[in-house]
Amino acid sequence: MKPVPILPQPNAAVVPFYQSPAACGFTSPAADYLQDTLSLDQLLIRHPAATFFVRAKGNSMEGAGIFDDDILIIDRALNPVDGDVILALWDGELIVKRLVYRRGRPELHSEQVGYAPIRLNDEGRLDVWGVVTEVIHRLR
Amino acid sequence: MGSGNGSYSPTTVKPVIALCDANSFYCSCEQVFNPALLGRALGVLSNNDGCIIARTPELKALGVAMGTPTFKVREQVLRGEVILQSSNYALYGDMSARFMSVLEQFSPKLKVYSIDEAFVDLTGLPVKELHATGQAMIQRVRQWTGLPIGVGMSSTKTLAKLANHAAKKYPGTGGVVDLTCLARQRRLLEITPVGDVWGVGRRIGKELQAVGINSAAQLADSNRQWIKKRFSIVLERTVCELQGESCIAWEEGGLANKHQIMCSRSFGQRVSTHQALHAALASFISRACEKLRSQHRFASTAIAFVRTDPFKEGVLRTSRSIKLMTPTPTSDTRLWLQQLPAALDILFQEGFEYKKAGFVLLDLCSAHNIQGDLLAETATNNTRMMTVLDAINQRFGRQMLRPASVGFATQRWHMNQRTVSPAYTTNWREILSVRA
Repeated sequence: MKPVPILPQPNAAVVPFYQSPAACGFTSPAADYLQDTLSLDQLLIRHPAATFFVRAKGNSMEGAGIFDDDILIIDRALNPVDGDVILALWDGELIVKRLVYRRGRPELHSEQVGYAPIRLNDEGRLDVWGVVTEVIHRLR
Repeated sequence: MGSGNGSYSPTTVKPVIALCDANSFYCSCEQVFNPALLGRALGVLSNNDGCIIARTPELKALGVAMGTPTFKVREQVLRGEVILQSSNYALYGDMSARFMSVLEQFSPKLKVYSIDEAFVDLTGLPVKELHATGQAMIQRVRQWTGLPIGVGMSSTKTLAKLANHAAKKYPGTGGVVDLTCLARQRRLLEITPVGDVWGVGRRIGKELQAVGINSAAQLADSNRQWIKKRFSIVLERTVCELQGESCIAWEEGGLANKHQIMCSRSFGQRVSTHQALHAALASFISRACEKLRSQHRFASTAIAFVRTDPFKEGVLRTSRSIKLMTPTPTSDTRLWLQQLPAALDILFQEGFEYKKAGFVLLDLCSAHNIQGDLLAETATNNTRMMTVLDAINQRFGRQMLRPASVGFATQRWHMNQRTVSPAYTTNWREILSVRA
């Protein structure tokens, strides 16, 4: 049996990118161009301390590319603006909707036929939990 | 934002220290992910669901004290007036790290003091901007993490703590108290009972009152020499700090500097066999030594203890502890495990139902302050195998490799958690579901 060296893994999702395997002779001409490995975290997460993952349940946002069981990446550091897909606290429940301003008033729109927009009346308070920045949709 | 311009001279610029802490931290973490808990009388329970260790203001308003045993609010829970949750340390630990990382955006000099509080060095920031900075901290932590926090600022840690206390106590402050102004400092000291001062506590507070020192201001005005002689050097430091002179070093205290490592649990089910108690203690020893190694420290003294339920009527009660020593400081799990059988011979008594056991490492030291012992083996050199053990467990999951004495059976003495919330931020299978 051969012993396998074990080191603590700093990051679970690192794709290794080896330096030139040649121990002697010429070094690889590519060695000068080595870069960091590609990291999905780096691509998808801008504010790690403010980023959360949630699972979408339902089909009201299919027009926005959000399907049942998709994982959403939420960045709470972003200030929601007109047109953002957001996670909002509405009537005691967390829901995913598109934020649309009509005549200066926020509305929550679904992206599916048969769903009416939620209009906030004067007493209605809209609490935004966070802005949805990405959707992770599995194909198999 | 941030204070580190590096151009000021530390002798001319008065230090500014902010103490930021989260309000009802454990409860707030639960509320971030479960809006149904907002505005409710919510309590979070201790490890074994035994008592209440965190309360929302609504629960405090019902007169439920810290540490109230769970059974005492049973009726209110059944009526739906009070909601109780088991503690979810995976969630709290993750939220704490997020909180600290947001604070770090305001100053690179941050001292994490506990899971829900940190000192932040704001020295060099213009006095006029302090209050606004405090508000910005509150706003940003709230937006990024959902957690409500309070901020107290002053020239020493003790005064910052006092300012933070005031920020909590008086809602009119909006959660920020800037106590750098001497006149305001004085006013607050005068209305603060001496027992509320950081580092004083109830017992010393009573002793101080007995000699006529009732307010924080009176303590601040006391003669330092007299305080040192009559009480202690520790209280003398508190007096200096109240007078605005920084005496508690930046690195002192808090998580990184604890003088002991304790691993203990209340058992989910009573444990009454020698074998089960042995397995429990062995797992605590192994966990404690793992923590010790992760801090690159060593210990030569430890205490193991066992006890029965002190509140249960009509059963035999006992509580025993034993001090264990090694010849030289060590972090080798095996050297502590070796002593367990002998220790258990003294700790374990037939016929008792044990409720809790624990293992505490004491006299912690780092590699550079270990005194060598000519006769003893250098136990500290024996760390390679332990490093490999930790690496394997870090990679493949805790307890993947463990000393055989820890046992393989399903661990009956594990935490008793009936209403624990999902690990929303640390387990993909448990992330929050939302309606789309």
